[in-house]
Amino acid sequence: MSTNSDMAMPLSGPRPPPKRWHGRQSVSAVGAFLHMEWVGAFSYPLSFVFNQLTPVVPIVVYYFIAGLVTVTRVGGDYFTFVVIGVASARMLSAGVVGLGEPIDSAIGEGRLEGLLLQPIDWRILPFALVQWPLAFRVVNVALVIGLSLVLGAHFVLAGVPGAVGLCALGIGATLAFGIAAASVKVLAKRTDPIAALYVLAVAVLSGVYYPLRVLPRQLRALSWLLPDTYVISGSRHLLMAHGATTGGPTPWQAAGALFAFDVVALPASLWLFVRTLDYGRKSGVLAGY
Amino acid sequence: MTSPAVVVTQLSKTYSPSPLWLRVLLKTQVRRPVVALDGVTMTVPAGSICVVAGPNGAGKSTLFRCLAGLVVPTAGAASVLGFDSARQSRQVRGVIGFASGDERSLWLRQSCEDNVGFHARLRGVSRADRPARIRTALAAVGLADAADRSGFALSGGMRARLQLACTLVGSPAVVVLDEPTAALDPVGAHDLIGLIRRLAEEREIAVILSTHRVDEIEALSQRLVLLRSGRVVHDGPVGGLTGGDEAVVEWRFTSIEAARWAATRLTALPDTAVQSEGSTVTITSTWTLGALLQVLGDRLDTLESVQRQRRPLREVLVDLLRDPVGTDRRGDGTTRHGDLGAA
Repeated sequence: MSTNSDMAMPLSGPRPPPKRWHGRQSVSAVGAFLHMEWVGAFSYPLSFVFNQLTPVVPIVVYYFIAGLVTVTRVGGDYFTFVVIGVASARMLSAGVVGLGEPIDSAIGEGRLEGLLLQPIDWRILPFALVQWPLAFRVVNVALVIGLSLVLGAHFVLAGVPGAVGLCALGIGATLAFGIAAASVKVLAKRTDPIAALYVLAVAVLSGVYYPLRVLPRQLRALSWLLPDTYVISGSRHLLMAHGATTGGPTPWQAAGALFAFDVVALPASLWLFVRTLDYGRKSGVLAGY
Repeated sequence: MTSPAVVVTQLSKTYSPSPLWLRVLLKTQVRRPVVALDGVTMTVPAGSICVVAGPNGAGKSTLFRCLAGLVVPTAGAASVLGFDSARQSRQVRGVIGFASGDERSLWLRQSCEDNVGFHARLRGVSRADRPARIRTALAAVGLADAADRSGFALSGGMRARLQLACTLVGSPAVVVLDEPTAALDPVGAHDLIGLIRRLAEEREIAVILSTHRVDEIEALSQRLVLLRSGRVVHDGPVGGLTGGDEAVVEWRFTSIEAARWAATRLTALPDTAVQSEGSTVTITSTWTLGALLQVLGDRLDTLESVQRQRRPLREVLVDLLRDPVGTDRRGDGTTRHGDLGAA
């Protein structure tokens, strides 16, 4: 146990709460989550490496399939076409699936209550929790792109900044979906079906593996509801030499749609998240009822 | 007089059945309104320890969550350092430290230092102050030498102390500990209770603690609040429960004659019941021992031994907290907390 001198100044006497948190304090609080996830992930290095490699392996499968697909509808290069689709979808999944995992784990391990008891603005929680899944996917997508380059994918370098921008806008949009799903999760405790449905919808409707025009008209209408559709289509226009032939919205159209969605949906989803927690305080859901 | 750090006034909480739309998402067992707290009033001064005890479902956890702003009361109010828990939840969370007996807030793969550092960052401790505060918090709970050890490598007692360090690093004015010794062995529990007592005294922290252990209730007997079915059935020192002002004293004399003489004199005292058997006299009285002894006058040398008797606390608590089936059912269709399980 400690001596009196151990307990000198730094902890002596209660501190009044800050009247208003500075941006730096919020950034520090958000960064605290990234640090803990980082330390946790690297305490199992082999698991981390395998988790990173698993999504990379299918690229080899697409490489061989690409040898069979020679239609011009995919910009004349199916391998690059599908790599852009897979990489974009993987990156954007951080918003819905990526946020869902830490919320699930916080609820399952009972850590959510502990987090809600901290003097942080509850609106920063989704951003704090999504950082690690996002960082994990950045590395993952970098590996996917790296392997695809080795296997002969061709990207237009000038289009990279634009594609990264589209991806950022897309993550904002999927994060809005994720936060809305997290709001339901706080009340319902489980929303795995929402994430599963989203992943399925993206795989079928957003043109990850094939151009949108192959979809029936009715299904194609649903494609426009998914942010992934805009990011994938816009990125193909930017990154493929003949990207314009793949169809779908142009980069500017995609950026405009995603920006509009972000501006409306992100604040709305955060409002919903905080309102849900407030409802939980009143109903007792947060205390287990 | 120290100003109260925590003020709870007529606090009530009734959990209502979930609306239909929520039942679609989550099947819940709450079919009728459940009264978890019913007009609880209490204050806790800075630097003091208040033990909250009661059977499972008595409303302890709801009370704690109301204090921390995680549950909004149906009626009444709770405030911490003047901040209203319902309306100023974030300010309250800034001055209150909360830890539960399980390991819910710990990141077990990470080190003690990481865990305390995480809480320091969430509580807005600046980067410059952080290392010193982390070291001090760990030292305060006796984990300075275990700073690099991961949560998995700690014993149950050490994990409980780590939780306390995480709570202390934010320099809270009020610490709420929900069954902090629930998972500890007797030695670990004893050490932790000693530590909590010392911290409360040295740092002027108001500590509110729940426990089911009778030995802890006796050890922390400054103040005991007993809850039953959401109501306060006792608020005061433990001594008030086990006899309080009215003590039972057994005197043994050197002879039967001396005992009879003393019994006759003692019976004359007001508020005193005397029972004599052989050379033993049993006295139940509100008089102090000194006052009773004066009755013997110059026959004091006939007194062989004095034994103060108290009713065991466990028995007193069982009598107070036993909730006869049906007595707490209300006529208005509501049910007392504990009658129905949580969802």
